[in-house]
Parts: sequence; structure tokens; C-alpha cells
Amino acid sequence: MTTEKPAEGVRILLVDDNPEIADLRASLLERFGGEVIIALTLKDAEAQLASPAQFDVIMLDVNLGSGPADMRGLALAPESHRLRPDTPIVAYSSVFTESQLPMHEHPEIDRVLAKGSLGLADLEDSTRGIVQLGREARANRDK
Amino acid sequence: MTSDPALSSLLAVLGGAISTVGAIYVGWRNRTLNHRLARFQEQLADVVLKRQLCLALGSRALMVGERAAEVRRSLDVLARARTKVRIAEMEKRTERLDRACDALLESWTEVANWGLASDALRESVDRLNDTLETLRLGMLLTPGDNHRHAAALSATEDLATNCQRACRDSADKLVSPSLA
Repeated sequence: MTTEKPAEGVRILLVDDNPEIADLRASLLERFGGEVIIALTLKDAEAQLASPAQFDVIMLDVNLGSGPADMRGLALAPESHRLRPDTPIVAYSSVFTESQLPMHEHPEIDRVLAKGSLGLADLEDSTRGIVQLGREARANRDK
Repeated sequence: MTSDPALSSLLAVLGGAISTVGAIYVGWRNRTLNHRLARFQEQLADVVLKRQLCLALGSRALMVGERAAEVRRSLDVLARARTKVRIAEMEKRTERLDRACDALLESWTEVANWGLASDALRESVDRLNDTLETLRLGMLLTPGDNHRHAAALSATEDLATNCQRACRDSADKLVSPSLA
């Protein structure tokens, strides 16, 4: 299922199979000027990436799939980069920190966030940072 | 006692040879035992360290649960307090929960780096962190929705207990080495 949230601003493709978290995260991104398109499955995400829709940031839940060891979300990163080379990718995970992810295999990932590990103020800052990242990517693309 | 000098010499040589072989055997045996003992100590230290890492993660998960319970209780207690007092107290308790979460993440990173993240452990940490994420996002988006926060905090307490159990199970699965 893909849910489009009406809002103006930085367009963010949010790929997360937890609908509650996806919804809450989208609301927070929107508070800072994001316009969020949620993809709850890998198939939805692939369809969005293949569509002509413009995205300024792609947010990927690393553990998309059948279990917490499943890294299908991460596997989507190279394809996302191939289809949208100018769009920054932010990966986030509830079980992998940056040091545990094979980042050397994924130079296309710009930022890694850990779920559940940030304080409220930091969570606000990191969300603002993601929107800012998208704003910069858009500005670079429009140059 | 023999009077045959040749036999005497032969016996002396034989005695010397047996003694040399014996000394070589004892030396070899000592070296083997020392080597086995060193390996045993190394394996034991490894198991002890890994058990400690799993148990430390478990106690940090429990701490997250305790801090979540504190925040949940304060939601009720502070409901009737003045807004300023309520915000200040909630911030204090939420910061304690944040610190407990940071410690949990630090411990989890170590456990994963040591290759101790079993599927069961990963699953329980995944669920706990997802619930914490839901809690944080909810607190930012709807700070006054105490009913929602209480539900997320209560779920955090349960999942923290589950996580501690999974950590203890992981520690118990680490078999101590034997000298045999």
C-alpha cells in the first residue's frame, strides 16, 4: 500500500514495513517541511522508484522483509541510486548500527540512523537534518 | 650386581637412554599440558567475556524497562501537577530513559560485534527498539496524549523483560570449555 500525504516541500520516499512507525515518522518529517510518500513493501518502493515522481530524499528501513536479520531494505539502496543518482539515501535500522552494516559495499548511502536510540531533541534534529539534506539535493539538481 | 663389564656398560647405556627418553617424554607431556591449559584458559576467558556481554545487555534492557516504568508512573502522578512542574519532571525522567537507551545501544553494538546476535536476540532488540521509536515519535508529535504514551511505555516494559530473558538464554547457551 502506498499512502501519499498532501503537503508542500521536500519530497521524501519513506520505505518502512511498520505502518505505525512509518506514519509517525512521516508526520514528524512533514512538521519540518517534508512531503512524504510511504511505501510499506519492497514492491511499493520499487514501483515508486520506477515512477516519474521526483524525490529529494529516500529513507530506507534496512530490516525490510521477513525478520530482523533480513536486510532487503539495504539491498534496495544500489537500485535506488541507479535509478535516482542525485537523490541522497538515508538508511535506518532498529538492530544494525552504522558499524555493523557493510557500508563499504554501500557507498550510495549518505546517512545511517539507529531506531530507538535518539533522545527527543536529537530525534527532532535528525529529522530536520533529513529535510535539509533533501532541500540541498533539490537545489543541486535544479542548478 | 653383574660382574660382566660389557653387560654393565650396556645396562648403563640402557639406563641412560631410558632416563633420556623419560625426560623427553616428561618434557613433551608438560608442554602438551601447558599448551592445553593455556588453550583452556583462553577458551574459558572467551566464554566468560561473551557471557558477560550477553548479561550486560540483559541488565541494560531491564534498566530501559525500569526507566520506562518510571516515566509511565509519572504520567499518572504528574497529571494533576502544574504544567511547568509537569514538563520539568517529565523531561528529567525522559532523559533518564534516553540514557538507558544509549547504554542499551552501546551494549548491543558490542554483542553484535562479537558475533553473539542470535536470531532470537536480534528479534527481541528489534521489537524493543521499534517500540521505543514509536514512543519517541508519539511524544514529539502528541506530547499531551498520555494514554498513548502509557501504552507504548507499558509495551516497552514488557519487551525489555523479554529482551533480558533472551539475553540470559543466549548466555546460557555459551558452553564452558573442558580440559578433557
